[in-house]
Amino acid sequence: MNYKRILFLGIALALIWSCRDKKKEKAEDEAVVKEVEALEAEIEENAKSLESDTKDLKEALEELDSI
Amino acid sequence: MKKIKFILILITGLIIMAPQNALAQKNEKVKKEMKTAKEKTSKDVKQEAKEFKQEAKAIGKNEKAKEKEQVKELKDQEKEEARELGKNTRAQAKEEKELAKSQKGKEKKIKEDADRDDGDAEAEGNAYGKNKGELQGREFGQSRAAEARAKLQSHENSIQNAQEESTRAKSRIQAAREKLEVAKAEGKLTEEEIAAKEEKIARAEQRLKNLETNVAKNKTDLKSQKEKLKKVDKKDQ
Repeated sequence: MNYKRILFLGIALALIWSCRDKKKEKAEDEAVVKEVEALEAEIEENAKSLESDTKDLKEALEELDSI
Repeated sequence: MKKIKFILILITGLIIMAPQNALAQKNEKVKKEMKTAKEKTSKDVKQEAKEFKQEAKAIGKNEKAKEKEQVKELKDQEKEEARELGKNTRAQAKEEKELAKSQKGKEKKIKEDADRDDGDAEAEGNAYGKNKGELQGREFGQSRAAEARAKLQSHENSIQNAQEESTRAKSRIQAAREKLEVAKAEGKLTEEEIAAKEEKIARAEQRLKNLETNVAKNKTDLKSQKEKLKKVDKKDQ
């Protein structure tokens, strides 16, 4: 009877261990994705501002052509 | 009882070792890819060296020596490249994998976006935990990192373009100013016309200044973004 209990306990412990590892891994992955998303947002914002500035300059240069 | 203990330890050991085995298999795959890449590069190098040798034979004796030297140099270069490739094969294999994954992810995203446009007005949120499709945890993170890297690359290109645009604009503004000075000296323009043209030049200069400051800011941001991405890559590995 005892060996069955021990066996059950052992399997349960192994399962808990693997689940905990998976959870930890998942949390780390999510943190990485969050970081990447923030980075992407920053890049997009910068790209937009750069694009609008370039557009403004081009417009001003077109006006210069009439000189 | 001893047997039971032994079985118990064996089972727990097997359960613990199972995920590690999976990881080892992945590593083996990567190693195999590395090997094949190395073999390919070495074959290419040998073939190119052969071609160069044949060409060198066909050309005259005087040129032979030069060609040989060139072949030697090329060989050395290719050897170095092969070495570098050998070092970088792992990284390249990873990048290729990431790209393939990101493409898969993108296709999935497009499909899902189309589905959303069709009528499912769900609340928008972060991508983690959503739109993963077939990708799982770490793979998804890697694909996102690859996407960010591509974005960063295109942004770098746009910064360079903006810089080129600003240098072009400088010369154009200078030319316009010179033209105006000439017109002023000739007395062809009225004061109102001169004022209007100077205003245009000033506006262009102001916008050029804005662009230049923005380019400088973007450059510094780009550096920090690259560092951040490197850190993320390290975490992902």
